[in-house]
Amino acid sequence: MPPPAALHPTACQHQSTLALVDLMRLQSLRALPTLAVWLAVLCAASPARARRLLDDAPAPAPVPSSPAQPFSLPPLPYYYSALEPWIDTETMQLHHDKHHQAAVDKLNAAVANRSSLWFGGDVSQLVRLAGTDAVPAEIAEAVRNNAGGHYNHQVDAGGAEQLFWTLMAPKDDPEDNQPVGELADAIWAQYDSFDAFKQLFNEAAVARSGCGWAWLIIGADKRLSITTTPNQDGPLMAALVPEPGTPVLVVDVHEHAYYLLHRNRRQGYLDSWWNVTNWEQANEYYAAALANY
Amino acid sequence: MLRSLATRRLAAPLLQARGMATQVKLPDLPYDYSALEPVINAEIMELHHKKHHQAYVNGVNKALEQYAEAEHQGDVGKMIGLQGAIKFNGGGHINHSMFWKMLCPPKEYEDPSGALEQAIEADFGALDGLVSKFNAAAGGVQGSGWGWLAYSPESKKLVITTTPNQDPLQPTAGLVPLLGIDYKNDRPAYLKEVWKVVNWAEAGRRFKEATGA
Repeated sequence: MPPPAALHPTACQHQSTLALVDLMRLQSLRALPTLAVWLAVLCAASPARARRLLDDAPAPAPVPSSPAQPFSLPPLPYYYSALEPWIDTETMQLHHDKHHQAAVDKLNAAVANRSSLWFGGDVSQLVRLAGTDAVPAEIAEAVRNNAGGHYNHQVDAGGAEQLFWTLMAPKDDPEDNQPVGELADAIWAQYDSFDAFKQLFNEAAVARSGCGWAWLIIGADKRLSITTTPNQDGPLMAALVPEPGTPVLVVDVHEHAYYLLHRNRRQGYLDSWWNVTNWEQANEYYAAALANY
Repeated sequence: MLRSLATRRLAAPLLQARGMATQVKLPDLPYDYSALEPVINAEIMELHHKKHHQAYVNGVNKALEQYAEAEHQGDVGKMIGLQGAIKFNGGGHINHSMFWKMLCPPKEYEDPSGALEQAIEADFGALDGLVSKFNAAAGGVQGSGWGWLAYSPESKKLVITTTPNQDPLQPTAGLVPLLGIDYKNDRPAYLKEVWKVVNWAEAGRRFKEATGA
């Protein structure tokens, strides 16, 4: 499923960016003083933001998958800077272009000669096999870690679940970011309030020792459940996790996800992350999962 | 006044006995936070010591207190439930307490000498051989963990090994692949630089102890 138009990098949501781009298109010399004034105003108002607008670029286009590269890393559905100030640009760049890319590269290396594990690039099918005999022993660890990592982060795999990156989005009113739709009803019904749910989720995410992920999942009983997994394990790995299920919401609590801006303060990161959680997307996953059970 | 002094002197051990919990303390670093610059910067040293290691100390103290209480009440289920927290935080405390001593300011760096140097030559050919094997192992650690140079009393050889998360090990010398701010995602760069601050004298001392040399 392609990302919605409003989130596509070329749609340029941000009004200042639009204005700046328009100004930069102006050919006439007369426009230059205006441009200079605009930049001066922008720099005076927010030097950091001005720098980001000028330096910014959308995430690179994906390398199309091929027999040599069965799995590929799609671009983010938004600019690296789109989630500022909640998640910083540098972290988004490193996290997507380095950490997630490394998982994809290592996964491709691990399954290089095993086309039965490619699934047309749909890693969600591969993760389901983690910890089972379907994955040869000599690549079991590499598949668990790297298919896990690719799945947990991934943007798009031909209609399959899309996770961490698409479960975040720039928000018009980030500090009043609330669940929507059927998912909101389910959260209120099961946890009594959004705040009560947030508290339980935060507690679980903070308690996850070392590297891992915190999830809101839906189980076969159609009930929501808060769970965490270590390293790159995820709830589709039925053979490996105590609480399998279908993801609805996820947050990466590896230190690389937050250390640059928040240092050791994982709760500070989580507070910021709640301001960019993409509830519309989470609601879609919820509805899709319900339909499947 | 004499009576209150006596009461106070008796009170502490009695309280401890009643508490029955071992408690640990954050050790001081043997150097300033900036002492390992430019290899490891002051900010990361301070965060690592004052925040991360302190968190392990707080975590293990809390878990040990709860464990003592559970033991006192004969609640075996609770005792088992606490073991994960004791292992993670206690391991973190043990590992980091060793780690700080295994680093030294770059201008105090010296190559290994004596019995340890001979063992390194015997088991790895040369220090370079050890470093590249170590970096390969440490670079391969998934997520968080530790790389270790250790002595095996069984085989009487030096071994390179890794542990995940904060699992403890009885090592001769330990080095941690921590992704710090300076190196961000670039663990290989960290592993290349960190050798400039390895305290081989401390490693040699541990080796002597381990081999009874």
